[in-house]
Amino acid sequence: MFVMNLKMAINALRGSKLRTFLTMLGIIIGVMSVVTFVSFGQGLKKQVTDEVRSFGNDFLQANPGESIVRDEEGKIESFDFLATFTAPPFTEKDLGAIKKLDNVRIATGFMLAANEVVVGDNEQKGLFVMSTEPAILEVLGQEVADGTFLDDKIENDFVVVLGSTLKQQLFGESSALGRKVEIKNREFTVIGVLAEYQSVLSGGFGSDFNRYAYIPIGAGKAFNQGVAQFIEFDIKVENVERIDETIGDISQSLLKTRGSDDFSISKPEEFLDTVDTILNLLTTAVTAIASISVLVGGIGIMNIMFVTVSERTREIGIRKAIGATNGQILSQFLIEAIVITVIGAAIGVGLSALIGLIVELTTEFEPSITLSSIAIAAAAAALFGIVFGIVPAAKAARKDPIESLRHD
Amino acid sequence: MSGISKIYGLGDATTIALDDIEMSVDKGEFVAIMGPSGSGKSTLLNLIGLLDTPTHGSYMLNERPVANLGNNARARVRREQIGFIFQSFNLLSRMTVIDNVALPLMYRGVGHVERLERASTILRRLGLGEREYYLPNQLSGGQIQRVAIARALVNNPAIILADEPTGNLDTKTGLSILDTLKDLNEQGNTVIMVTHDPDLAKYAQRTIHVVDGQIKARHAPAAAKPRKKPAKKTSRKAKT
Repeated sequence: MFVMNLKMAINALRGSKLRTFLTMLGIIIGVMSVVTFVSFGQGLKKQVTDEVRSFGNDFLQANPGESIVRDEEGKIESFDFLATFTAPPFTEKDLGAIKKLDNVRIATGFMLAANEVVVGDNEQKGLFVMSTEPAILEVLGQEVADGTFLDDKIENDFVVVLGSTLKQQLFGESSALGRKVEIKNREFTVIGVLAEYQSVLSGGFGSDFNRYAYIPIGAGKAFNQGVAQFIEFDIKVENVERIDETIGDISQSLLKTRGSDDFSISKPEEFLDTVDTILNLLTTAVTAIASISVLVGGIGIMNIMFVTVSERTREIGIRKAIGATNGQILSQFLIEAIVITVIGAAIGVGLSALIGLIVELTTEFEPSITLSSIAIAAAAAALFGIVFGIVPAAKAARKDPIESLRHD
Repeated sequence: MSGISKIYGLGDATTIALDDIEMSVDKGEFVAIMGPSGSGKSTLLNLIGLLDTPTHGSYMLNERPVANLGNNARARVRREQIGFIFQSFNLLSRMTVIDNVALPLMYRGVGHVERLERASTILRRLGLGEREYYLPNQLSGGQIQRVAIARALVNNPAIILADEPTGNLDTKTGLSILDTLKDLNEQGNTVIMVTHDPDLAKYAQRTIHVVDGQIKARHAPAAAKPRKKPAKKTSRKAKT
């Protein structure tokens, strides 16, 4: 019975291909946009998560100022980035004390020394020149493409290591090693160029790691009356299992050296919750808007089903005369509506996969179509088929056989 | 069928389509119902075929009262006991001949293979074995009506109801359809046919004349006479 109904539905739909296609179009577009937006959201979430994880679970970050606002359970509630810059910066004394702590493998910090690099007439602005220690390379997970990175032996030299994009902007394809650049009117010698750093976070949140320049602590201090003023400490621990204990130790150490508790220590994992919340909210909002188009598509199907039912009044009369019950007529038209929505949804998912593939091939972004989003789309389509098909189908089922047989 | 009335409309604006009809048809009879248009003969046929319910009266079909059944119960009786043949054939144009014939069996829940086997058997009996997978619009009028007859027969109905079965056919084809109906009757099927053509009514064993919603007179060939007991609905009667 069901198979026969399905066959009849497909037959009926094939009988008017153009109309069926146009009816489906609403559902196709709706499902396509919903699945696409969800897959973009999922893809972004996955990439951000992977990137944050790539810092490692042994990574800690400390900033001056109460830049992280926590709720009672200690979960990150919001950020106050300005606090980092208004609070007194960390000092070399703070850093020195942390370096001596148990379980701290690497502790390093950086100051923002400048925000432009000049070669002759070529002025590159809106970037970060970080005055830091050699250990920052490992913390950031970057690699040197050409030359060398900073070294303890050249701590006080005026040398610079350039990010890949910045090097391109300053020197183009020609080698940068040994060339001179100007930072804050002081001449620096280029000793190295970093490999390109793939990241969604950089660029996406306003700071492109590939446009950073790195200079030794000594050079940074020279710009700052000989004082180091760190805005961030980056720490890697020895034993991950003891990381929370180490956070406590660092906190104690900073409290002692600074004499105040105006600093924040965080693990990257903690940011994920917040990022998750933001991305979920965004995805949900966009999906909700896209869902409206599915709704409109569903109303289109209901409309066409009404037309179909009235056009096929005579058919309904014949079927009833030869013994179809109201329920059998109802299920015939309901299945027809469900077939339209399910096929429409399938095409929508297919197109969405195609869009995902094109985006994946042409950009660095990878949308992720999950099985669950496909399942949800299919279930929603069937549900919409039932919801929008039931009223026309009930109308068909209620038709009087004698009247219907007279209809032409 | 006893004291059957059908009244349309409400209050003062009522139309009496059928007025206190008494009739019975035995198993194996071929009965013609005749009457001018508007006489109520179509209404009578709809009542016999359980497409409609009477306003008053009782109707026994195979010893079972069926006058007051609900929609779905009537649909079930239709697909088990009634086979309709219409003036305008009423095949489903998008379905093949064999699917059309098998359709009543589908509504009875008969399995796919058995449906097609039974439909095929009947079609071959009616000389349409070669046309099983044609669409109705690829057939002639006479062939189409024979497909409709096959559809009416496929569920072994108690009654075959034919409503002007030759009305859309030329005389020669019409006569061949009537021959087919006669053959079926001789094989033991009960046939009730509505017509306005006295020549066609001659094929029947007896004729019921309906005028203004009432039965006027009954003609029957001599052999059928002893069976005329209109007011009764005894258990021996197979139907109506």
